[in-house]
Amino acid sequence: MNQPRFANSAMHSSGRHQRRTFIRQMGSGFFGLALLHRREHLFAAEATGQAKRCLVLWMDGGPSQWETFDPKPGTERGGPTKVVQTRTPGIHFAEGLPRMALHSESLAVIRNVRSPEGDHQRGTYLLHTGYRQIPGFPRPSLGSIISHEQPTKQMPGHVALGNGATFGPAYLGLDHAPFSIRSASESLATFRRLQQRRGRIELVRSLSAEFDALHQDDALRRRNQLLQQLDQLPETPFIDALDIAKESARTRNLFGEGEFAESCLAGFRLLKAGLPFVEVQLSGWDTHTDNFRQTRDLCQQLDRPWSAIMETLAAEGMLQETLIVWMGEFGRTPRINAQNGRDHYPDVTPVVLAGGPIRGGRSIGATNETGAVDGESHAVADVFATIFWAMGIDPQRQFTTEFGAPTQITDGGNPIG
Amino acid sequence: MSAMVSVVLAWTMATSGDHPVDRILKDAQASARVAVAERCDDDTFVRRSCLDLIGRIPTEDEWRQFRDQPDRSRWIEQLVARPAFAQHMSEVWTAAWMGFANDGQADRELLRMWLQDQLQSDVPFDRIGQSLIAGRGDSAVNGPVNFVLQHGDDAGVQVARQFLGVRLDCARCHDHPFANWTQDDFAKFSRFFSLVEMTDISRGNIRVTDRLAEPDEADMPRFLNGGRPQTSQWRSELALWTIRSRSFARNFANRTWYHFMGQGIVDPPDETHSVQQASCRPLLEFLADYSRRHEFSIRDLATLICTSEAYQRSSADPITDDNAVLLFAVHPLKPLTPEQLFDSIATAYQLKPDASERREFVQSHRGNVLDQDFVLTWKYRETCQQLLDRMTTDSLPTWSGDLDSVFLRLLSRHPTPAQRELCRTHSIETVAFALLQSNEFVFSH
Repeated sequence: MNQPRFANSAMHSSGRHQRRTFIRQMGSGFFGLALLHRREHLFAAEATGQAKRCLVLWMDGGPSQWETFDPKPGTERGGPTKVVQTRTPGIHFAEGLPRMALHSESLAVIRNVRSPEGDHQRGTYLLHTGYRQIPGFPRPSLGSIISHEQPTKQMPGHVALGNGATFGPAYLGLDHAPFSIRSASESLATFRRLQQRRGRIELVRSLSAEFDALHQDDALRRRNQLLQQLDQLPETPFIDALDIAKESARTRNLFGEGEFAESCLAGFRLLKAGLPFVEVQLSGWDTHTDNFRQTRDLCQQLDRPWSAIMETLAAEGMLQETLIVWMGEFGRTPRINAQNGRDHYPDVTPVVLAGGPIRGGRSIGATNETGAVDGESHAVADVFATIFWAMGIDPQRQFTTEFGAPTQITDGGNPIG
Repeated sequence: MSAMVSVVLAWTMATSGDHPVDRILKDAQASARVAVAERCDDDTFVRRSCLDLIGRIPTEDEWRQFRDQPDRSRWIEQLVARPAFAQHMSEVWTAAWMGFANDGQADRELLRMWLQDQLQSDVPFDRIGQSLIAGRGDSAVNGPVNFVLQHGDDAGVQVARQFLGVRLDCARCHDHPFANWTQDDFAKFSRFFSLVEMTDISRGNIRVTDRLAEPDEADMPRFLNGGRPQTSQWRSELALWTIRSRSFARNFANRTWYHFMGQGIVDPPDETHSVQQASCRPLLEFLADYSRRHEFSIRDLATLICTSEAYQRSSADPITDDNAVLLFAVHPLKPLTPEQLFDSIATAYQLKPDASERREFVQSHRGNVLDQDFVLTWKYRETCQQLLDRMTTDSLPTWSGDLDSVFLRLLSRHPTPAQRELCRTHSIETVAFALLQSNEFVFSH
């Protein structure tokens, strides 16, 4: 067995002390000022206010950067993938994303994120929490953090649409657990059933009344609160948002058909209803075989709904308030294997940001002809710090775990400039 | 002596003096001026003891048996001797040691079945611990080696936590913020498992052995008290050192106490080693001594705890304050585990579901979402979504029996007059469903 591999994240105790003093002294005033000066590249200077909502488009399986936002036609590793001209001079997308190419002026493509995790489960954990997985020390996921920082009344603040993995709130509390929706229509049917059975909840509560009166216990209080929340949920916009049939034919047509498109539309409606965090998942990116045909299909599923999200958010005046993050657990290898596929490649983990205070029409970092990061690279923690900054959440914020240990919101990340 | 006096005497013995646990707690409660809740009634006692000892609510027959002969001590002794006790406790400990997922190379169920056999023959807990820490063999046939297989590099941390009540986790990345553990402690303690070798024998079968090596002085492991192993049988030495340490006995006592009482003497029990945080130190030391004297018999310790008045306090006490909970003057509410819930529903509805249905139910109730977060705990952890799923369940079997049978089989009591009135306008199935979701059913009290 190997020795534990966490030595590199070690801090000498004196160093830790200095750092804490530093953070205490600087406080949040410093945070705002310092970042404002440094962020002019990625963040629009004219952006007023911070993003209020966050939408993650999660590419489950690990999306190929070669076939999406970092194509290299005509090179040895580039494969047969062709490019499409975007609205931004010098930036090309893969041919499968013609609609998104028209939105390039709103997108910031980050090409130099490097992750240490090449395993699906561990990579998914890292890109959902910003921390490497350590047994016995669970970290809250992005959605749970945002739900915690921007709490909603009565509605779940952290919703995930799709079949992929989601991660919990850890020490932030179960109010911020993900509400997982496999499909909007299925979930809607469940809520309709609940509405028909409100009498049941009423009976449950009446039959519990004598027991409740005799007991004083936090667990009991919490369960009664949940029952009440459930009882009142049908009166919030949450359930209505899942009913995509209520959307105009024009908008539905804009999003197109298919499971992912419907989830995107439901996701958009949930954000509009006031939810602070929605993740929509598109599975199938683990293209070890037949990479080129598979990624073409996936891009086709992705291109239209994402483009529809950009357009509807803009039309509703919500784009400036909504941060959009496109990512998956890692990128894919330069090498094309014998099955015409690409394998896991965490050395380049593609990320695209849009909306909120993000200034589009740019790429950050670069890969060379062999597909490796050229020059400086960013850690996953930097991506998380960037997201928090864009959401108006202090990237240096500290939490206290249930064991009383202080811990940082990111694993030492700095917002990407 | 008049009959009246002897009744009063017997009552005094039973309620305040005779049981060593109660003697110790009585002093602690008196000096903290904590008001003590009443003794729970017989119906509550039957339900609580069945859930804690055999993992499900009582059947109507069991309830009647106890009502006919309401001798609580005999009832506990009788439950502890049942195979269901070994099975239930094996699930409790396996969840602590292996988590809930069954997705790695390790065969969680094989380990659990092995443990059930051990508990059935009342094998001392220190020997069980020894097998888990130092076991060698093939994972497909040897239950305990699956512990090391499951945890790999992390086995040292797990041994510290599960058997010594020491959380080394924080020292993984930096020196522990409060306790004494340093990163060096973590690294050196983890090294006890660095000679483990895992060899693929066949599909689903991995052989766990130890390499022979003569490492440099600098690569040697170190016990948490600073000592070094004397031979190259590192894991065997670690196992011996662990089970002989005082922390092992305290940890065993505190975790067992936590299971029954819903509140540790040191809480959370993962940090039992921090004895200065014990709410009643003399009780912890007494239980540790008792465990050692009784050769770490889980059966004996369970009997001792469950026959105490402390275990039999009512949970219904409107004057609850934090001190009352910390000094066990009132019984806390514990949410049923998915396993308890499934077996209790099957008992109430008199169903005979198969093992795969049970697995599916447990898995869906744990939820993939929270696997990562889950430590063994009696904290209430239901989410809005889980509650929604429960409330919208459709397929419930029909109920054969009257209103009293619903209350007896689900709640081990008759309905109150108000509840009779409430239920008059509902079908028996609807009432059964509502009781199944009621607070009184989903909590052990």
